[in-house]
Amino acid sequence: MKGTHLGEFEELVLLTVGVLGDEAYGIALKDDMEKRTGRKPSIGALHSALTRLEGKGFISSFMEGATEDRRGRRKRFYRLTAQGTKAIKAIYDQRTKMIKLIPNIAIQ
Amino acid sequence: MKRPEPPGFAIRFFTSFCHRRHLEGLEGDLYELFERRVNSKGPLLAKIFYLYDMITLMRSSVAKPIKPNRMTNQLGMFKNYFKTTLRMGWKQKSFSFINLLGLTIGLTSVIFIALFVFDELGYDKHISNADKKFRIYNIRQGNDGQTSFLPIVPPMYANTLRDDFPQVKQVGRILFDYGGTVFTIDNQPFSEKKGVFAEPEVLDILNIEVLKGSFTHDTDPISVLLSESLFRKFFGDDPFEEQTLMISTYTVKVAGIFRDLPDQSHLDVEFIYPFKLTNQYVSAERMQSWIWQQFFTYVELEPLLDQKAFIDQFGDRVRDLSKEQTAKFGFQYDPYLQTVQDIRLHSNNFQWDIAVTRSFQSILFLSIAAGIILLIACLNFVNLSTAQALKRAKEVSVRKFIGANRMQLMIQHGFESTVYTLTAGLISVILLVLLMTPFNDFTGKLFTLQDILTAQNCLVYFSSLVVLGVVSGWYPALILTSFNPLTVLHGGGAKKIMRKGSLVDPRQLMVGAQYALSIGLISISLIMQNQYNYLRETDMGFNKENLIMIPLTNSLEKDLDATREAFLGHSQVEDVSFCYGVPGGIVAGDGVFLPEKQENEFSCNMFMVDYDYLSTMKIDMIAGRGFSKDYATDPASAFVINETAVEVFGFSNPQEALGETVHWSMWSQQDSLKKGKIIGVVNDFNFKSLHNQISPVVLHMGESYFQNMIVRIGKDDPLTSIKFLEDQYRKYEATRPFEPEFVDKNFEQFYESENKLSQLFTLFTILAILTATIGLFGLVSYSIVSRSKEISIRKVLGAGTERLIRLLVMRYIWLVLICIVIAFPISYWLANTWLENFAYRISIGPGIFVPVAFAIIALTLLTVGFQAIKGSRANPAERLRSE
Repeated sequence: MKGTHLGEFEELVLLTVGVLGDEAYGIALKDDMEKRTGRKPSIGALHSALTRLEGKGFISSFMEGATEDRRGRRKRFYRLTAQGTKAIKAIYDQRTKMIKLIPNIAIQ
Repeated sequence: MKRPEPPGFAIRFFTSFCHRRHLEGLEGDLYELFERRVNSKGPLLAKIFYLYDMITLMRSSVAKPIKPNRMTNQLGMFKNYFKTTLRMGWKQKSFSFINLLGLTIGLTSVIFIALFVFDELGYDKHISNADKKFRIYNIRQGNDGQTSFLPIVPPMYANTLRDDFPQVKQVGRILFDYGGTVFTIDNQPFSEKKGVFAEPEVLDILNIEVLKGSFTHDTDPISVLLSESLFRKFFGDDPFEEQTLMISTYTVKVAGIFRDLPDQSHLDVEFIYPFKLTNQYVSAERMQSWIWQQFFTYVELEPLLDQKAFIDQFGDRVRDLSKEQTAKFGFQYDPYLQTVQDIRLHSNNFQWDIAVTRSFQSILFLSIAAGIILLIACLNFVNLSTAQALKRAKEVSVRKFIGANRMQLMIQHGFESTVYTLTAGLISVILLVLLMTPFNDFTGKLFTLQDILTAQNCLVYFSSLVVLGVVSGWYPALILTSFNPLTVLHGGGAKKIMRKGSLVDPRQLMVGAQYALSIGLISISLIMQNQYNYLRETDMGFNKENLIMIPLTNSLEKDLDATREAFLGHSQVEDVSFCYGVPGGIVAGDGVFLPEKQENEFSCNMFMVDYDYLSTMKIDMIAGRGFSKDYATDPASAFVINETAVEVFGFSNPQEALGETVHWSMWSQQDSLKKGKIIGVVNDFNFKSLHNQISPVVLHMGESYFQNMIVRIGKDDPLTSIKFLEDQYRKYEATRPFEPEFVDKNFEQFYESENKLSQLFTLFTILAILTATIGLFGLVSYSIVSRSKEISIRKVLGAGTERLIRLLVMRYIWLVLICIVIAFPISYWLANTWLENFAYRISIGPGIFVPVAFAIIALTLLTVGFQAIKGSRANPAERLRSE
């Protein structure tokens, strides 16, 4: 089995998939990441992160929703798997725990 | 309006690149982004961004796997082939050894010959526009019936070309500095031989680059241009400005320095005098001559000029202008052009050439020899691999059953032979590295490994090895893969497996071809050697052994009688003579006039001699007498001619020539005739190389023209005699270098290229024979092993050893006999074309072919017989028990 560690960019992509819910496909993800983080990921980088996440089992994908401006090509939608949700939680827990241990930082 | 579309090539490329799984989604995404950008940024930027996005998608996670599952499998197969090759090679040690040995010998020979040949073909490639630059040569027809090729032409050629032919861009003359020059720098003498007088155009035509100083028509005539290395030899690292050197008693300025000529240059020149310096030696009148053929003349023509038409036109003009003078002297000539790059290899039949040349034929012969050796090695390889086929029949059959198709099996065997050729190729490269120095010593070339082992050469070399491997693996593969696997695995015999269809066994044919080629090579190399020995040992009409030539100097010729006495003062010095004209050296061409015979002059070679010349040279008289002190008139009015002259001048026999009147116009005073009578006739003696016929010779006494001293020393202890000569010489010349030349050595230099060719050819012949013999050895040993059962049964049934040996040997003897019959006529013809280069040559008779035939038969008997005896002596019980 491949390692389940997440890189920083991967983590961001995973979170965005979660945020977008049923609307998470390539372009939407790109737009959303631009909006929220100010980054402009290339679709190549985005696609390879998505493929890796899928390989690690954190997200799953299915094809749906052909439109005119896509010349009839369907979109590949991504969705968090149970394992993905767990991973997000785990990351969150671990981060909070560790941040709390840093003296002189107060988080409400 | 047409809807904007992303670039079509990009779409197609992406489709071919992208994995099927990702294609639809990504394509959609790309389109969607494109549409959006067309609206916001316009179609052009949208296209550019489309390309950018696509490029970011070029990653392994997106790409199709390259031909799923095929690559790895194929590699595994080749690994397996390699393993099989090694195992088979190891199992059949003697076969692999013979194969590798043969191929290595062949390849190494080819490498060396190729180096040599390409080097020769690469001469004068540094000259720009070489196809428009020519040297003029003359074909001279004398009324003695002789045709000669002369690269030296009259001085008027250049003048005529300059004045009357606007098609000529530039023209330049060279006069060779015959005899060389002794330069004195700080009282230290240097004797240098490689010098010329040249017009500045020559430097431009031949791309001789003046690095420092200048060399033009205005250059001070009393000066000299030195090559870089000669300058360094004379002056070390001193600056060149204001350098002077001494020649005899004159102070001469160094006009400049030119870049050393490359090794691959037909001209080997180290110092150049301005052409105007010849004014000091040659009268202005003589420079107008149409007779005096002495100048190497180079021309550069305008581009786009039809050179054929040009030379015809020039030839007509020359015949017009020269006729009056040449006809009087009994000859005529026609000018021809050769490009500067042709000089090296296509000047073989020229006389008095200063260019360093080699015969094209020798290059051709060597290339053919290289081809033959390689062919023999390959045939060997093919032959042995085919012979092994039976042993491998089972392996092939199993492979077939498992599912290998014929193509794959062919690839396997092609691969196998490529492994062999590549291995042999590597060994050859190692040999090349090891043998570089002896090869350079032998050929006198300066190859370095850095020059040879370039990436390009290695690439060409190894890719040709692969081709060679595939080609020579093709036939064995064809045989091997044609077996019916069922028959093989059933345990069918050799007869059943090898479908015998054709009348001639191709393997026999191949052995035959090898033998025919080797026999041809042996015969030709023997003929070459015989010819070379003939050239060295034939009777020259004078005795060339122990004859030493010393150039005369001012102090030596001051009092010739005293000088003679001084040099004769040793028991081992037999004779001393002074002369102009020494066999093997420079001989004057001139003409004489016989008032009672013909109104024109007869052209002849002229020797100026003294009383002792004929006795010193040991030239025999056949009629009349030689020059003698008893006749006071001899110095002024006696001529001696040779046998050829008797014939050419139109006398029926030597006696008839005696007492005839001869006129000769002297060189020193214009229009003054030396009138005299023929007092004697000498035997024909060879004074040129034996490539040429003997021409008419006139000898007479002429002290003022002497250039050389000839000393005949005794056979015993030549070193002491030479030491004595040097001591005597030192009494006259304290600092000038003592440079004796041996007349027989000079003659050997004429045959230098024949000698080298014959040696090289012999070497490669031996290698070819060796290769063919080990091939035969391998083949016979195999065929006897495969016939061991037959031999055993014959033995059990009562055949004697002798009968068995005869059975095994006779086949090959027949084969060799057929080869001999084929090879001899061809080599006879080839050798004859080579021998036509020589005016004096051996005749090819049975004396050469019979020994070759016997040697080959003996070699075959030895090779086959040894194996046959071994095979027929084996205990039949042991062989047959294994069934």
